[in-house]
Amino acid sequence: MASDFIGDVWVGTSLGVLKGLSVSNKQTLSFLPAGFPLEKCDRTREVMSMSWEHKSKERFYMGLRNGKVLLFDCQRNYFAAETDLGGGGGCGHFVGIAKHSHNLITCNDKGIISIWPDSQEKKSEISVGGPVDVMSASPEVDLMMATGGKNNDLKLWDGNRPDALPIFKAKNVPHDYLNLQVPVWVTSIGFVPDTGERPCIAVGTGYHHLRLYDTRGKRRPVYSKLWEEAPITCLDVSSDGRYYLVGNSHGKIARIDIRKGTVLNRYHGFGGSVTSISSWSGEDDNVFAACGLDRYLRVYRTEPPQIIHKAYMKLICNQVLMSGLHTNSDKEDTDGEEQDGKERVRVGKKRKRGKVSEDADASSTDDSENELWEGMEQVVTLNNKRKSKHKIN
Amino acid sequence: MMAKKMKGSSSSSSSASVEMLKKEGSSRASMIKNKILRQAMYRREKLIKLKEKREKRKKLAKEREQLGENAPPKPIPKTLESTREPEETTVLADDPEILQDEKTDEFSGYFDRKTSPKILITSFTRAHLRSNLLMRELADCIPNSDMKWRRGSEIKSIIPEAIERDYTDIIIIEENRKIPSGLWLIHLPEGPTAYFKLTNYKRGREIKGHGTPTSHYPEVILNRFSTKLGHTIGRMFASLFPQDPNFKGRRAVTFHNQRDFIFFRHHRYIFRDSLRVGLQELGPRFTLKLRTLQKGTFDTKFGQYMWMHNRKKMDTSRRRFHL
Repeated sequence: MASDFIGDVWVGTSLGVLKGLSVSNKQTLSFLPAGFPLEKCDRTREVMSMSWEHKSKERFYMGLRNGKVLLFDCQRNYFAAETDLGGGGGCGHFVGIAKHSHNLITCNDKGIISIWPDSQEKKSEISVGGPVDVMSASPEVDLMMATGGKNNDLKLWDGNRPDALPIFKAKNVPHDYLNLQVPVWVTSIGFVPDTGERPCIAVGTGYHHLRLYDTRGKRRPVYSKLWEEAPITCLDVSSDGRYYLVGNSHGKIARIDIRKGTVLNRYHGFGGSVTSISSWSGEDDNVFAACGLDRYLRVYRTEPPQIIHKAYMKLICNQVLMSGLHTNSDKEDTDGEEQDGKERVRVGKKRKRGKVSEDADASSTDDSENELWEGMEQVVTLNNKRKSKHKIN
Repeated sequence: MMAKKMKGSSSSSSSASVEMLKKEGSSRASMIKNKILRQAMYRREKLIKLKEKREKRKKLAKEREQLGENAPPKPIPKTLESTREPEETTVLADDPEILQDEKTDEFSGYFDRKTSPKILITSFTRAHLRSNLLMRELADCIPNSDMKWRRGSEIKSIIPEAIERDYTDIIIIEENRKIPSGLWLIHLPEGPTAYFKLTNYKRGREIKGHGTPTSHYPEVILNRFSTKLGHTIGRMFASLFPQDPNFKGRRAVTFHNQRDFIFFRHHRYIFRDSLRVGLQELGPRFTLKLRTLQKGTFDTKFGQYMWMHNRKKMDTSRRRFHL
């Protein structure tokens, strides 16, 4: 059962149980390290942080509250490794974990970034200066991390220069209309892809600000906008870097235009706080998974906003990662029963295409004409993209 | 004069019309324009219908008696609860993950008998008579509880002090227009925090045939908390009372959940004979409805909500219940 399971979404829960969800099969499976039964699980094994080992999304790291780090292989569905990096608790819990080439980067809530080479000897430590709520690593540049927390504004660090000062340090926004200092509480950070050495960083705060920093320019954010009235708990930037998804502690999720900070769509359904969001872009499909304290995992299509799947996870969900949206045909190349709405859409499209080509065959069976039809098909997809572009702008 | 005339005329025609209606049946009752006559007609029809119903029921019972064991099973009446929408989060007794989750949650200390409850009862600032009475009655009802005047101190500053003094829960009564309107239940030291709407408060003295509570530890009855959310709330209530009830005191505190309304009742029972049990209500009596459940202790602004009641989104069906 578990061996031929292809997971689309992976959820880290409050007991350290990993849950894998297959959207097309509507199947949820629980995973635990070998020789570690459920009876031993408790809140000390709460999953605090999760991240992919590599962009290929084949394996991911899970940081637990007790300082242990697990490596899970989603191709073969087993825990490949477990290491203890916490030193027996007391060192705070993970707020971020990442893998850059051969270095594992962890950060605890007390504000210590540790870089572990493969030999597992602690290579270097960076003190961020005060407790932090979140650490996020750049998806492109090696050993580049961003941190932030309460009264600890966004800072960008270079792991190759552990003793040096941060390469970027945000400056707080100007005082408000009463000439009072705007409080600082960074709760979520997202790197905008393809921005290289001097990245753009989207930030959500506990005081419900949405901010975008351009580290090439000034130290103050490009914009700082208020969204809703509850603390922002999670943020995920899309792979094309045009928008990001944010969730808050009242269970609200929105898609935000990265350049303007305006709300593009809202996604409904959560009964409690959203804890984590992970987005995924396919060829013609953008979807994201979000989980929360109401013990549900929800998978949404971004445009038009629509819930694809909802699954009860039984445990409180802390972290989510989305590896893709596999169809049944990915597993076995047969046309099985396709219940999913998304697949129906795809089938419909195929049928349309088929019809068109059949008609063409009936009128004049010419290869060049067939090619022409195929060409038209591409124009259709281009049109769609243009439409969506207009909407985003 | 006119009124007399009309009265006279109506009485003369009334007997005729009633006769006519008796023959033609009830469908004509609404045609009668005289209100008094029409109402009389309806009343009579209602009586006849009731009589028929009673006879039918008697007949059925007789048949049932004659058939004895072969009688068909009694039909289950359709109510909102029996036709409830299936809830995915309903807790099954043998679900290992849920069991493990409950074994390690914030109330596990109480259920493992590692902690014993100690409750702090207070109110919102400037509480009035009804709220004060409710506080006092709750303090009488819940063992090991202390009622404290609020004296304007902030809830967020009360919490660390209560933790220092080994309190396990804080109950805060909220009021609106001098009437208790809400109840905060804060579990210490790590939460969760629940907020309930409180309605229909009746003090013990207002209940007919009421008694006075004794200091025996009561039995706690939790009814129909079936979903995961309901379980959490039920465990929260259970952990307010000490584990071992003094059965000698015959006191019972009930939290009965019906359609997401939680009814709080406090009784003393007596075994009249081997079959009959008598109940005497001790009070107080009130109804709770869950509004929010928060992770951690009281923090309305920056707290993480595990569940929030959203009437527009959640109450789209009358047959959907969350507890």
